[in-house]
Amino acid sequence: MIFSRRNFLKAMGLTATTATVAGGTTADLGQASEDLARWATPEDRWVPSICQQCPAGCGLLVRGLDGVVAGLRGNPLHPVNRGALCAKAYGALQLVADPERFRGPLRRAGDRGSGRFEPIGWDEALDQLASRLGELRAEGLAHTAVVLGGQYRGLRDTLWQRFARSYGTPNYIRARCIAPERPALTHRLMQGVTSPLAYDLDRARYVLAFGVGLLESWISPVWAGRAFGGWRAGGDRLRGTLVVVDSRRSLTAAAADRWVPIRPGTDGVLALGIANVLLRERLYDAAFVDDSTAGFEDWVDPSGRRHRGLRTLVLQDYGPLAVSERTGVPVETIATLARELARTRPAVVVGERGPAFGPDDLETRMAIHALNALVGNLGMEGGVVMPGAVPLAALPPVVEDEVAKKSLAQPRIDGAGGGAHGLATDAAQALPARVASGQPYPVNALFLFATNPVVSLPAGGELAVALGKVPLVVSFSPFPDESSRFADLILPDHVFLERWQDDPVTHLAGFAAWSLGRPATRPRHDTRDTADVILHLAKRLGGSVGESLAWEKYDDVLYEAARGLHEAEQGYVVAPREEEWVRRVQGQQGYRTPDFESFDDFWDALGERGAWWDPARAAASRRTVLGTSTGKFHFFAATPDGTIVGPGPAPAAPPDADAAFPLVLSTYRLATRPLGGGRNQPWLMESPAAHVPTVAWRAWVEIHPEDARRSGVAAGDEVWVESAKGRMRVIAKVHDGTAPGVVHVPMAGVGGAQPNTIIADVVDPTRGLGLFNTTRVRIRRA
Amino acid sequence: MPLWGMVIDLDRCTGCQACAFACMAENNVPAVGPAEAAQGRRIAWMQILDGSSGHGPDGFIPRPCFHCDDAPCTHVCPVDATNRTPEGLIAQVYTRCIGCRYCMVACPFDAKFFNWRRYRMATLEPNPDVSIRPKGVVEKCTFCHHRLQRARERARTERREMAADEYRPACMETCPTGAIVFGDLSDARSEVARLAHDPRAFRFGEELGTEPKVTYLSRVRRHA
Repeated sequence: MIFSRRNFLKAMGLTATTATVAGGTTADLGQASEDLARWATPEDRWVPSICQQCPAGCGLLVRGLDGVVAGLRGNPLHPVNRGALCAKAYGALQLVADPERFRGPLRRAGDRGSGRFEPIGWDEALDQLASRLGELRAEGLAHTAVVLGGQYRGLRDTLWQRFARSYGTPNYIRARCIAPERPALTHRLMQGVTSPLAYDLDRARYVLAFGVGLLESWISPVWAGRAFGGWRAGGDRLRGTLVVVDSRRSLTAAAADRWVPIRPGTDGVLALGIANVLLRERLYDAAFVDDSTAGFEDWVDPSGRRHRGLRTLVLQDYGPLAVSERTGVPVETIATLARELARTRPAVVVGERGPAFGPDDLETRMAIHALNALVGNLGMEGGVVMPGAVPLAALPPVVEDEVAKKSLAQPRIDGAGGGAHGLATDAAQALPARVASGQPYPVNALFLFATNPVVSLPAGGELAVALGKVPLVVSFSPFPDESSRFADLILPDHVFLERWQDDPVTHLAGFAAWSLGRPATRPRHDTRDTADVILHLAKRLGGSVGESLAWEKYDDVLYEAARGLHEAEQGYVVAPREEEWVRRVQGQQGYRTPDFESFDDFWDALGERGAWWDPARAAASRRTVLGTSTGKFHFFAATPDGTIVGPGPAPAAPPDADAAFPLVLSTYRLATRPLGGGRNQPWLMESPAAHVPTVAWRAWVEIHPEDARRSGVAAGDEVWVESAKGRMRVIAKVHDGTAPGVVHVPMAGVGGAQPNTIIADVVDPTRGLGLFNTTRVRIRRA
Repeated sequence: MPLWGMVIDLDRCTGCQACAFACMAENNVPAVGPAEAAQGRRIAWMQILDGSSGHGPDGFIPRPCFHCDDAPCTHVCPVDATNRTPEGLIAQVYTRCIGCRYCMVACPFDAKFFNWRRYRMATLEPNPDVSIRPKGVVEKCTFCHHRLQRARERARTERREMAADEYRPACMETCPTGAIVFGDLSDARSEVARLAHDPRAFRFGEELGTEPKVTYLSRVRRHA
């Protein structure tokens, strides 16, 4: 038992009762317990929570002193981070204390965008909102209510989905770079999988990463960092090798065994150049390629058209000399990478975020992923694996009435899933233009949850104007931001340490895990968990919406879903290593003993320790990772409209030289930038990155010494970065960690410098976000 | 008598700054704000130095206080506010410090910081185990000395000896790659003592003779 003040008081209360009943009065008794409450040491407890600063979902232990947050550390039992944390996590302490936070619900008092609000009661606010939503629904306009959600997952996402479906809007749109609970598009197309695949980093011995900030900003820097520590551990295992291909010397590239600088946007070309060496030197896994892949040899489609297979494509167009010319990577390096990749087992190639972000993003990613098939690591230990599923209990089905069915049949406002964005699940970047034009229909209500689209979308400026046409904008932001400024109603959410949380971890390394976080502190202001607000709203709306969301509060939903874990006959609540070791031995001998008498005991333990997990990684098998109709890996895939897509970046020459804007702007994510940008977290603002030690509270641009000289810029100068769209003022960081002709700025800028103010408003057709790495800029001294 | 020391494996360090932020949260180190930061008044007990020479990366170097066995700062302090404890920790007694900053000048490793103002802690509650420094005193890394005191107290109430691994500073606890190892250098069987004699081991400012108790490990890297 953890010795807490509550337990202590309980025990003391009991003694006090016996003592006073013997010879005192009830008034004495009351006084005695009051004295105790005053004099006992403050309650000092560590409560498990989940970090929401990025999508990794590390387990936290939050220190509460009488219910107020006074510190945090990594949860040593949590399978993702085992007590470790990254820099961002600690910012959460300042997030809770942010003095600018909304104190309670607000209603617009001045003009739209004036930033003038007046307080409103929760009941009044929800009544007004429910009646407006009810009217829309009655008018048959349910589909014109749009929910824009940011980066989060788990049952919070499920509740929004249920709300949208039962209410009757197809427009639950997500605006985020990474969708960790969905398979990457490349994996969907090439392997036919319907759930995300994982890269088995900690067991891989050779990792080739294309533009991925594995150790700083990819899905989980802490998990990747722990794997990296393992590669460096030595001992009897082969030392792991990390090779990073990136136009910028990122933290990951600096820590890697080898950094391969590359001309931006040519990662796919390099991948196929490596494939060329693999094929010519017969280093590829011929058995796997012959038996389990399609599209390697030339083929003829049902309409009789001939297509080049991967072999022909690679051998004809991607000879090392040509590739070297286009990418700027020496021929010798290309050959070395291919040989190392093929000869070190297990090896894995990662290229999910960052390398492309250009118009041929999909083809680039497919080219990179094709290497995994060529070296035959799919479904292998240390390769690309299929994580186990989290056996949460299914919630009752959503009730869709006639009104909902009719409006759900309407097309999506952002155009995702059809037409130009046929492969995209969300196209948030397309939203502003659609709202502005009122096509295919005008938006009557817009909900902004966990996102700040006015600055996080390149087209945010357009959105700020378009919001004027939306009669009702509701923001759930806990603190003022550029988007909540345009809201009619602000219903502030708790910050994450104040609320119940859940997080399924499915994408990291093959194990399945589900974290549960209890509120680590009482809410500081009159805010409400948005998950609860959805339930309250549904109750007011009644009918099928109320039926589909018939819970009193969010923890009831969690409680119901977690029952599935207890009954699943697999996995267990995380426990100290020794205990887990015993379980593993038991598991190997084929039996398991139930941990808990009842589900309530299970639930309590989950709340005390913070996570459930099933460490038995899904058996590494090729069948599990190949879900295509043929059961094979497809080098080429057909899109819904019949176009064939495959590896082979657009053969376009390097972007045209442009006299007015001679430099290419490339963006990256900092290791210290949390979701939401972190402006209210002074520690993170003050020390943004170790490679710019003198920069604090400011944004900067990284520029090659040659380009700096040509632009007349010296290190530390105040400069303008200008594009055709706009400009931003930053500090110049001159160093050779960037390729000539490319300048780098970190996303989520500070001090009024937002990269999205200069990034062109182009929609990436497959990801529905902006193209972050194609804008051309120039630099001049301010 | 234990001799507390640290080994930092630079081959594992990624420069992510997790240790630096864990330290700030643990030790109630404030952010000084844009205006003060612009004057170079940032306080960073654990600081990540950029080791890039301009021609290829040499990686990053986390720099706590080295707790030198023969620490120059302790020799110059006129009021004995900074001194060496019997266990080798270099203590900083805030109530005795007169803010002369001699020790900051004497420290060859820039590990000491001055409180130019009473900075605001932007957290709800500070860590109750660590005192908040007033304006006008010097502060630095303590190897999370308060954790040693806590661990000792716990062991004493449980009537047993404290094990060396019960005392771990916040930076070591948070490091994702396990680059930081802490422990008793006087115990030859401890991991920290073993690593301190690794062939990759070196110390900063060896020629100054301050005998730092923080040892670094590094091997030569290759880059394309």
